[in-house]
Parts: sequence; C-alpha cells; structure tokens
Amino acid sequence: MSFLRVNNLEVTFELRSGGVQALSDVSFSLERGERLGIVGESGAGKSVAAFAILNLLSRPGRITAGEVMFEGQDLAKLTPKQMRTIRGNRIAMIFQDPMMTLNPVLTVGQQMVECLQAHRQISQKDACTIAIRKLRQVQIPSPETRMDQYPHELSGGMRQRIIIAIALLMDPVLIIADEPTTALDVTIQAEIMDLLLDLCESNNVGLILITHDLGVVSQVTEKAIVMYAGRIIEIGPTKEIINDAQHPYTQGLIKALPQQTLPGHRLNQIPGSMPSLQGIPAGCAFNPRCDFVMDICKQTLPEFTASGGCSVACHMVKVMKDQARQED
Amino acid sequence: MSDSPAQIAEQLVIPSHWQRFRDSHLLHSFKKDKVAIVSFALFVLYVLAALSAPLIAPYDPYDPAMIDIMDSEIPPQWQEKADERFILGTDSQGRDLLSTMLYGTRISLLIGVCAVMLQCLIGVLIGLTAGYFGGRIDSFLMRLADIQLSFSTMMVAIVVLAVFQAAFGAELYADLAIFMLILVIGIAEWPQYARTVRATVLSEKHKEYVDAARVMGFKSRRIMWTHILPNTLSPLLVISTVQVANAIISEASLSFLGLGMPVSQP
Repeated sequence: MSFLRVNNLEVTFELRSGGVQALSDVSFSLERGERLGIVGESGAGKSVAAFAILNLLSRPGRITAGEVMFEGQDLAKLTPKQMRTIRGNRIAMIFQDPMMTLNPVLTVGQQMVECLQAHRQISQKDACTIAIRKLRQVQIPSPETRMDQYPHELSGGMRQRIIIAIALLMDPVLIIADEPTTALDVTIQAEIMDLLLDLCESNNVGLILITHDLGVVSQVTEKAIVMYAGRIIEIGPTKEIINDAQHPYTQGLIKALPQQTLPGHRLNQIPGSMPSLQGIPAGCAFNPRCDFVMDICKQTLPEFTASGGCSVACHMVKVMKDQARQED
Repeated sequence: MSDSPAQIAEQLVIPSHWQRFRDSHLLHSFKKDKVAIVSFALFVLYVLAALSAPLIAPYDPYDPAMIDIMDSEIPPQWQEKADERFILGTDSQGRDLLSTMLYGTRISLLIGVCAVMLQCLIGVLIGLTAGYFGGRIDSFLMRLADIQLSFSTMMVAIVVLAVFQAAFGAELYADLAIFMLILVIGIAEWPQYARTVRATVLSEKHKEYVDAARVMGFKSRRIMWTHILPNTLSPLLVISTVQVANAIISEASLSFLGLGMPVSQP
C-alpha cells in the first residue's frame, strides 16, 4: 500500500455556463519521504490538485470522481471533522506568498501556539517551547524575540521560514508546497529550498512541490509530473524528464529556460497560450501549439505510453515507440 | 536544535503585560500625538466627573428633600440675581444644574456605551455569520438588516417606548427607562455594524491566511473569531466612536420628547 495514492482524480467547477473540468484523470503515487514535483503553466491545475488532495476546494469546485488514498483512508470521503485531524497534523501546506499567509494581527507566537493547541492538549508554555524549537530548526535567529513580533515586522524570507516552521509544528508526514519560493528573490529562494530539502530529508517527510521552476524541481525532487490543461501529460523520474523529455510540451518548457539560450538571443518560447478550461480542443489539449501535430492528435485523447521510466501522453511518442519496436 | 526543552524554557523570559504595553507601538504613537492626549484627558475628565458625581456634586438631584421649588430658575453665577449656592443656577423645579449635569453624565455615558456594546454584539454576530458563510444565510440576514434600516431609529424608539409606557404605566417605565433606552437604541442600530463587518469579512475571507488557517485544520468558528474578526476591528472602532455620540443624542432627543429618562431623573 502506498503512502499517498491519487487515483483518477477529477475536479469540476460548476459554473453558471456549465461544468468545467479543472482536473481530469489525475493519478500518481508517492512513498513516504519521497519528493514529487508538479510542473506546469499557470492555470494547468497544479494548485487545484493540491487543494483537492486536502479536500479543501471551495465552491463551486468539488471532486467529482476518483480517490485520494492517504495512509489507507480516502481523503475525498472523510467528514469535515475527520479531515481536520489530518490537515495541519498529518499533511501540512506551504503557500506561495509569505506576505499574505500569516495573519497580520496575530503575533508569530500566537499563531504557532494556536496551531499546536488546536491539535494537541498542551499547555501554553509547552507550546511556546515547541514553537521556539521549530523556529530554531528553520534557522531563525533569536526565535524568542520573533515570537512576540507581528508578521509585518519581518522580511519575506524570514516569514517564509516561519511558515515552514508552522508547517513542521505538528511533525507532518507530508508537506504540500505551493510555489513556496515564487514571491522571494533568487538568493533567498535557494536558501529556502535547501532548508526545505534538508528538513524533509532529516525528518523523512514526503514533499509535493508545485512550481513552474524546472530548476527547482530538478534540484529537489525525485519524481516529477508535468501538467497541461488539467491533465498529466508526462510523469516519471525527475532526471529522465529533465534530461530526456519526451512530450513536445515538456521539451518546450525546457527549451524556454534562459540557460538554453545564448546571450543576446530571444528566449525560446512555446507559441500560443494554454487554452481556457472551457475551450479545450478535442483530442490532445496541446495540439494547437504542438510542432509535431498529426491528424490523430486532433481527434483522440492520447493514452500513456511507457518510455524509459516515464509515462508520456502523446501520440507521436507512441508512434515512434511502435516504429522502434517493429525495427527491432 | 541541541537545546533541551528545559533549557529553552529557561531562556524564555515572558515579559509582563505592563512591560509589553510600555514598549508597544500604541503608547509610543499616543505620546507623540497631542490631539490624542488632549482628547484622552477630556474623556478621562468626563468619566471621572461622572463616576465621582456623588462626591463632588453639591446637591443630590435624586433627593426630593434637597429641592426647594422656591429656588427655581435661578440664573448662573455670572448673571444678575444669582444665588451663591448654585454655581450654574437651577432648573424650573429648583434643582442645581451643576449637580444635575454631573449625575446626568453618568446616565448619558452609560446609555451611550451600553447601547453601542449591544449594537456591536448583535451586529458583529450577524455580520460575521453572513459574511463568512455567504449564500442564503447571507441574503437572509442582510435582508433583515435592510428591513431594520428602513425604519429610522427615532421612529422605532418612539413607537416602542410609547407603547411600553402606555401598556405598563409610567411608574414601571420610570424604573426600567434606562434598560429600555439601551435596548431600543441598541437594536435599532445594529445593521450599521452588521454591514460594516460583513463587508470587511468578504474582503478578508479570500486572503491566503484564511486558507492557511483552514489548511492547519482549524474549525470555521475558530477561523471566524480569532482570525477574521481581529482584522475587521479598525472600521468597527471608527463607527463605534460615532455611534456612542449618536446614541447619546438619540437618548437626549427621546428624553426631550418625554419618551426617554423620566423627568424625575436628571
């Protein structure tokens, strides 16, 4: 039994103009202590996936099919009360913008202590002690003073450290980090990612890292998922995906990295933009932007083809694999 | 990380509340603001005068034995025909005006503050519920607020107080006047608070810290009260200051119409 196994997850937003599928047929699994990256453009459904795992979608979105098996329980079917014992306690989440994630009117200490007391019967003093120990773990200087400070008194990097400390408070077994470094500048980004990686490794915590930064994914994660228009298009070991991307979209993403371009040249970009979820084209959602588009791409949804350690949802890859097999 | 919990606890010096207050931003900016200091001094003066009325007032307006109808309508000290005993003169029944004002301040402040607390309580409760849960609950509660708002405060107060007076007699009314005033003014003005709180909750509800609180596994009630409510406090404080003044004016006008505090009380 896997630690976390997502099966055919489907999320629909019921809008006035009809249902919109923000997530279709998403399946993946994660072992304890394993780190998974979810990559994709804005609007590909990365954050929706994270919220769906925690069963936290707010109306009009809801899980319409599939299951999220976590330690033997289907999170999609738990009651709100049962779910509360998992959120924050077993699974923690780190958000994108550290400026917004901390409550501006409560001190850091109050927020940490409150979180501890919500899940455990614990005295104020013990809670403070644990909170300070966690702040020290995320390398915050003089944590005692920080406890009495308000979020606006701290820098962005410091706040993100505090958010990580809050996520670690209950010793979760899985952390979902939704673009944890996007709002920080590059030097702090590296520090925060190193810290997160260290803490996950030393505590044997699983990590789902949602980002559009392929560099971060390749540094931190062992497994990666590439999403496009609410579907997984490529899944496999991070190394293989980065070094030998099969899906034309993933290849495009990698080519678009600034490092792939000579100085003075325009960056390579994937022409066009992702379709809105209400107007996904028939067949492969990527077909209008794909350089290798074939007739079949406009008609049928590609199925997953195994390629090395990866699975790729692309007709072209399938055709090439079939040809290779015939030649053998 | 090598520190044991006991060691950390030792290093942890929890500052006393007074110490924290002395270092706080609030006190610091207050000290720099002259207007605030003067206003605060005036406010303290009023409260002290009201609280110590029995000690400093020369007469007791509640004591009929001290009132002499022959002393009625004496002008204040600085005018002719003044009487030394009454610094600010007397009213038509011979009560010393200074004492009456001192005692009256108590009632005005009491009604003002209590009515606003009642408004605030009802308004925050309804506004928070409406804003946080949204949907039908929101529509229902806000329509209630609209209905309440469509009756002017004075009208509600006059109708309720007049009916009460007629139904239960002036004597019982005289005993309960202060509670009735608080209740009526409090209930008539709650939509002010409900609307303000709801509007602020709607804008706060979508901020990430609320999502973060949900992710931490907090209950809705806890998120509402300890996370969202403190963030709505600043507009609440602003309307509270206006509402206290409004409540006092309402009370005065009702009394003028004979529907407020009975004539026998200042």
